[in-house]
Amino acid sequence: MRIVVCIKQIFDPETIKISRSQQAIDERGARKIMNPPDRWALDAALRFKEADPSIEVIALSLGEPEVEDVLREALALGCDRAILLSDAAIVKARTAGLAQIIAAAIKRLRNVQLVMTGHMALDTGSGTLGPRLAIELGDWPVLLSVDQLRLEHGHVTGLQYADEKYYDSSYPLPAVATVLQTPEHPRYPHGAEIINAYRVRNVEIWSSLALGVDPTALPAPTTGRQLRLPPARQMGFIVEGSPQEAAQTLVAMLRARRVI
Amino acid sequence: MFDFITDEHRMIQDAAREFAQKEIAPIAAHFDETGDFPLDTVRKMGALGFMGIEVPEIYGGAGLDTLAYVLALEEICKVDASHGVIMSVNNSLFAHGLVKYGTEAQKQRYLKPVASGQKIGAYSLTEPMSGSDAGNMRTRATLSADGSHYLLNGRKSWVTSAPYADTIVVFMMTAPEKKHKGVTAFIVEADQPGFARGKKEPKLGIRASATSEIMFEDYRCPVENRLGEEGEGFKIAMTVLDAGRIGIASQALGIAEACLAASISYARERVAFGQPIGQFQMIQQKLADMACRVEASRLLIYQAALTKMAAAQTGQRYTLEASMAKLFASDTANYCATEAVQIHGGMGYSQELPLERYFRDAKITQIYEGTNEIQRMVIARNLTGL
Repeated sequence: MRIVVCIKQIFDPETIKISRSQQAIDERGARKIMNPPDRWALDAALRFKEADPSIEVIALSLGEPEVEDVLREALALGCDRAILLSDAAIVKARTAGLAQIIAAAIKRLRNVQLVMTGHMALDTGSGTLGPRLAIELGDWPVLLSVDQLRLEHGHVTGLQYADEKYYDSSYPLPAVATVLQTPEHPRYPHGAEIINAYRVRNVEIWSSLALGVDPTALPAPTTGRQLRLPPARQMGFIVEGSPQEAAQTLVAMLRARRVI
Repeated sequence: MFDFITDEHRMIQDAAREFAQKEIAPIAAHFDETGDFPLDTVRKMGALGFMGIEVPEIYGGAGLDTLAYVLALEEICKVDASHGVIMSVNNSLFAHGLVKYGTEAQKQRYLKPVASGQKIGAYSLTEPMSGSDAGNMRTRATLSADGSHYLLNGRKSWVTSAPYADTIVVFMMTAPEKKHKGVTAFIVEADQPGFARGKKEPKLGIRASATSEIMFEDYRCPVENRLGEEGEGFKIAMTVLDAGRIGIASQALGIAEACLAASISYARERVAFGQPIGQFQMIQQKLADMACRVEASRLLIYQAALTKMAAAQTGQRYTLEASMAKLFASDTANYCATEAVQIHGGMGYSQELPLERYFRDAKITQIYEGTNEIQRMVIARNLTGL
């Protein structure tokens, strides 16, 4: 059985600077990293592989050639294969088109039973890749924002997080799962595996031609109209008086604002 | 800019940075305060190959090069210099000596478990009466009449990691009349009779790295555990220290960078007299000088690491480059720690921030693995040939 983990390369949020005056993100000198939620997804996939060595874990990413770095990292962490979908047409794809390209690659791989990815990309914060992939793959079931994933009896099971609650969910394979970041930190690569990832292992590059995708027929990408920072936060205030008085004042204020 | 730093190097640096921030940063203050040895995180570092970065994979290491080592060590030391020195001793002082001078059997038996972090290695040259003056050591090793073993006797001091070390490279006199040419190196197992550890030294800084005396009383060291030839000890000790000094330089750079980063962020945020203190010229001067010295240290360390890598092919020594890097980076660490505490004012002096820990940790880098006075002597002798 094959598990595909979709990985995105993003700017490390700790290394970008935000300019309030320019209303823009300054990415000069910023470091690029594996989207952290994807790293948790990869870790979960590698745990499945540890429990059942017949499972093959394939890391998949899309974009410019430099994206190869996160795939090498995935190899160093223990993936069996790494595939980069990259050509001039592919790198322009966004959202819906992107899901179509990745789905084509997954179909080409055959015998993929589970597709995993982070619950969202920290740069866009959208988290739509999982559901879009599920549709493109032929309405596969999808577990959204899931923790404690298990594979049992041909099903994928886990705790789905939604509306501040966890729901115990189980779906038959093949399926898509988007994985939550949990406090337990995912594995780090071993130094020797880092060398192997660069000197021995290989990142496969697939083009749209190889995938049989017609780049001109892809849905138009979503475009951003304007990028702006959220408005500066207003100062809070302290409700004075004895605890009882303060509570009464507070309740009255909340009622007046129709909060309660 | 530095095209000798490859993607491999960056990945190990990223892994070390992330490990340090996630696993070490939350516990560093606690272990500094208690002086306990952070065995858990050290073992985890071993599992990632950090305890034997330059050791070939077949001997349990990561098989990376000196640049990878200094980049990783710097990241660990940005967060905690104690973890850094434990890593440095294991890598440069213990493992490097065994890789270079050990027999195949010694590598299999003693290098593998230490390079993979399952066991802790140490290096013991200093004695109560001799530090930099290694030719004057009082410990004695005598070959048995049948030539099967040496009897080791005497007392060694300031042995980093000794309270937890399983295997120690020890230098002793086999021929005292020959002075430093009568020194021989031995691999000592800490669980054998005749070996004892003294009490842990209470220290100013790097408090989580345990340091103690070790004592030998008729310790039987089999001849096959001699490292190198008889009388080769001083040469081995000095060669290994060349590598060690690059490690200490990286440790010092890590401390200096932590001080600089904290100071920059404080200078931007702390407001006095109605403006961020970073707008005052006296603070700006400190920040600019700190940054220049940090970058200069980095370049000296890269130079030393690259010279060491080239030396692996040519067999040449890199004493001068290692000494320069160690001298300059350790002075920089102390300069930056002093100025960082000053920029932070009262907060710098408080244990609520790690600045006072950086300040205490920085000092040792000017002392161990050759005091800075010795480094200056080494450098000047290299320059003059006198």
